[in-house]
Amino acid sequence: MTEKRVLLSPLDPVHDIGLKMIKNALDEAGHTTFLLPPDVTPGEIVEEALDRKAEVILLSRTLGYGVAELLGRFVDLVEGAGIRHKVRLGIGGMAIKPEIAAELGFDQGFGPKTPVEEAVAFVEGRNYVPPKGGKKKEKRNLVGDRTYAYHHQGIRTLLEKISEKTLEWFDGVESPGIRRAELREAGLAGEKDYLTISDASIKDYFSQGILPSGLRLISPEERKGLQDMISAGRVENPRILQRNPRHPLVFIQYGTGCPFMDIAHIKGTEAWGADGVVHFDPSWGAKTEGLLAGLLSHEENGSVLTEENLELIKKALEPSTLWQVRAHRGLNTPETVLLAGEAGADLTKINPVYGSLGGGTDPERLLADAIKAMQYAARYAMPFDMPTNEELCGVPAYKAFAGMLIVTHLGLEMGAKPVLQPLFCYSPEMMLGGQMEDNYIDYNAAKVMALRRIIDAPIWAGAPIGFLTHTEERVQSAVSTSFHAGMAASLDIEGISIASADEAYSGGPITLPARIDTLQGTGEAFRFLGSSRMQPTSRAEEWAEELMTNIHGVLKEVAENGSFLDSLYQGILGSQKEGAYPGRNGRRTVQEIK
Amino acid sequence: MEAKARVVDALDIETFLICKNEEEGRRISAGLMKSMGCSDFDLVFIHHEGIGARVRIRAYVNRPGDRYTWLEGGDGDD
Amino acid sequence: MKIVGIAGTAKNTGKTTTTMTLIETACEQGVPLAVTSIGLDGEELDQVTGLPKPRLELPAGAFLVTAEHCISGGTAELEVLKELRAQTPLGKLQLARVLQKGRVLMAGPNNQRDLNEVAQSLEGREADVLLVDGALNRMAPLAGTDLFVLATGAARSNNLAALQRETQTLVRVLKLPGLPPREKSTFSYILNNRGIKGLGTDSLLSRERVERIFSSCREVKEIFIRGVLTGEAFSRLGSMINPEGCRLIISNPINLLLGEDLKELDRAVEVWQKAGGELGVEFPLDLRAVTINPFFPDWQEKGGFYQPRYVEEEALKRYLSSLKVPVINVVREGGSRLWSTVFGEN
Repeated sequence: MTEKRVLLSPLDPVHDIGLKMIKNALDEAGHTTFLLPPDVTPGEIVEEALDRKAEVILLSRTLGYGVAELLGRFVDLVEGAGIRHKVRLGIGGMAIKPEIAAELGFDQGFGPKTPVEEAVAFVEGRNYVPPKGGKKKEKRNLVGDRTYAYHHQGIRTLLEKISEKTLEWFDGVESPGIRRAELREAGLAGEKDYLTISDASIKDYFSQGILPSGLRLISPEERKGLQDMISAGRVENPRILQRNPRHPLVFIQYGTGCPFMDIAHIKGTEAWGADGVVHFDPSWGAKTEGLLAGLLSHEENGSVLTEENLELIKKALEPSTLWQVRAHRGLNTPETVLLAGEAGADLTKINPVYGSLGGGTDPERLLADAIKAMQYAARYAMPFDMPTNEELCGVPAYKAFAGMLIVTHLGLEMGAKPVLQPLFCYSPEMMLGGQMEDNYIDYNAAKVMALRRIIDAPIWAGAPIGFLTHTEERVQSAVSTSFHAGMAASLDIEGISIASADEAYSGGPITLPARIDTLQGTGEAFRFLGSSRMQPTSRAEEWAEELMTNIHGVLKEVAENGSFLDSLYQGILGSQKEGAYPGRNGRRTVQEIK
Repeated sequence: MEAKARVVDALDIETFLICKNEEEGRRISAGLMKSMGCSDFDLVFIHHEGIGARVRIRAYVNRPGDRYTWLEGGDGDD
Repeated sequence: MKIVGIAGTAKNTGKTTTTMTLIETACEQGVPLAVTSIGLDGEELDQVTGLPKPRLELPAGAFLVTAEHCISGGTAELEVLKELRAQTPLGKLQLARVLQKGRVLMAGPNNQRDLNEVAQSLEGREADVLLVDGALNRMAPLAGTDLFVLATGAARSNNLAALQRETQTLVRVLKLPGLPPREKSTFSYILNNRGIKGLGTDSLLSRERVERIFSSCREVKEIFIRGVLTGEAFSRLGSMINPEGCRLIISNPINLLLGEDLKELDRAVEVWQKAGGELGVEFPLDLRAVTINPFFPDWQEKGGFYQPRYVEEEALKRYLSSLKVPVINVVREGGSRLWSTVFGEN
């Protein structure tokens, strides 16, 4: 490389930081630079260029009224002065791009996001090749190096006891959900045996092609259009929100009803930094025995679970995106996990405690199905998280956590990798108890501290973080999410699910900009904190101890009862008084194996 | 007084446009505002990645120093 | 092959409309042509103002020179014949021929030397005319063209009296006669009784520079400036030396127009010539016509955008009719008058 003499002139005093950075890089590379003060005329720049025998002139200027003509005259002056063929001219600034540089007569234009290296390459007369794979986004493992070692031996002993009895029971039962999953495995989904244990709506669809109301088939043209859009809109530079290796992965839930709109939301949120997306199925699916087939669109909240819909969505995902398909409630959980595994999902969601006490499914049915689902999760190496959303019904956190820990142990016994999901929320328990009157940090921190002291398991706070703190106002909503994300980053947890800025709005579907709002907020929270942390007060410590004591107490009660299932019906893990009602969907469908 | 006259200063449109690049996003934004009958507008924010661009497009109704439409009287909200 | 430069005094003064009119007329008259631009032409919206631009359409058989990234930017079917050496921000220049007529996107040579390469690449090819569309207010790359058209109008100034004064200055300078330097020189010099002396610089841009160089001169026979002489420097020069009997020769007329203040230049020329100084250029331009455009983009300071507006056409024409060069409203008067004015016998 030959050293160059470079004149740099910031015609815009406000925006000369870019030029200063380029100057530093050029100095470092051994070139001779001359930085002019702002507010010089084109004539003065040319005089300097002549005096200094400049070989390259770099200007920075924001376009505005009359500026193009000013720059045009500058280029003319360089030519008139007889040095145009000896001097290469570059222009940088807001709104500058190659087309404008060509119109102005410069040799190259640098936009606002130009890397310094590109300007250096221009000075040195090289082609600029952007570095490859420098900050390429990779798919991250949510479980990380968590060992699942118990730190609380008393709790461990109780969980082993409860688990053993539960699995004994499971070995002797069967359900239509388990049976259908086995039929699907055998390639018989939608066939006669499958349909005899499915609901009428599913039978009607497979035998007569009648779609349940609100559903329609997606046409091949629509599908083609979508594929074109996806291939044209690959996310080249997804934003990376995390600033530190211990910052949590960020998940969003999609489920607009239509896989096309879902995909538009997925592609938008991937670009804006979502690390994972959660498939959100419609609520009526939880009450139906059997799954549909085909590419289906739905006009309500939630996207229909079919093999074809899942395949379509999978194809649209970027390689770095984690994909979760939920199976935490309803009558098709084993089949759902099977479908998800086959479709290439990374994660699933199973929690028979929440699914039965807060999700409307019968405890007996869901427990049997959930254990089968865990077996599939293990087979497809899909970690599953356990949402504790019964807390939102009014169940105290310690009870929800006791249930979650039982499911954790069951999952480990099945060879799966369970992920703890405490809520970061302003729950009814807090509203009544006043633990969040002063701040939102202490109690949420206490939850994480307690769980960490019981078991070394991954934690994914949900779902979404800041539940019941959001209002319909978008800035409030996004800021609340971002503060909760900052708290999550301070607590070294593995993942968070974030809301959109539409979280509190229930009048219609969530919009993509509302999702981007909170991704932006989350990114800013991580940027703001970096490796620093939010600091809980000493109350967090007290509450963590209290939580552990209470969890231990509940588990003792379950163990004394002798049956996890019966404990669910009896309200030991959340009573009717507290707002937990054992669900009725699928009641009395579990049979003993003869 | 027409509804628009009650806008204190500006209308912001926060949306996401499906488009090939930022350039196309700018053009679509300008077209959108013109189609809505707004001539005094600005693209406050645009970022393109993947399938489209997140934008904030602003249409000014009253700028400081104007004769404010909301002072011009009249009633009703037609 | 005749090279026609179409320069403007500002954006939106009608360069491309003038170029397009010449293309259409060439087509009607069966004159084979080539086209290029010293900036960027043919985009839908102006890169700077965001307002719609006139489209650039070429007939089958026409040659064009445009940058690599612009080749597929139009609707015309093109055959690339040759890649040139010249570089632009949009890639290397390509010589292409139109196979099927249509719109083209054109980003061509940004300086005189590269324009020469473009002209050379057309040698021996079937093109009688090379039209070079200007950009913004830029003129320097067009200094070596055979025929020159200046486009001006309300976009330059919607104050018609001011526009008239300014255009008069431009025409006066652009029509400066050829005056061969006594010495064949590759540098700027002063010639006096003691002989020739180099100026030490090609250009005189500032008052201070003139004061430094001419502090001990009074009587000078000839001054030759290869580079730029600004109005400011010219004005100081006229007061430092005695213009009477002195030949002041600039390389080309455009090099007199690159300073900031055209009024000052006009006064300097006036003073110089009245005092008996000779003023001429080594390479004269053949200014054939001034084309006028009533359109102007009105900058809305409040909104930060441009709004399209017009001045009254008749008034514009009236103000500029006193120029000592044909003045043509291309849109009103059509292509044949423009064509015969540009290419007719002078």
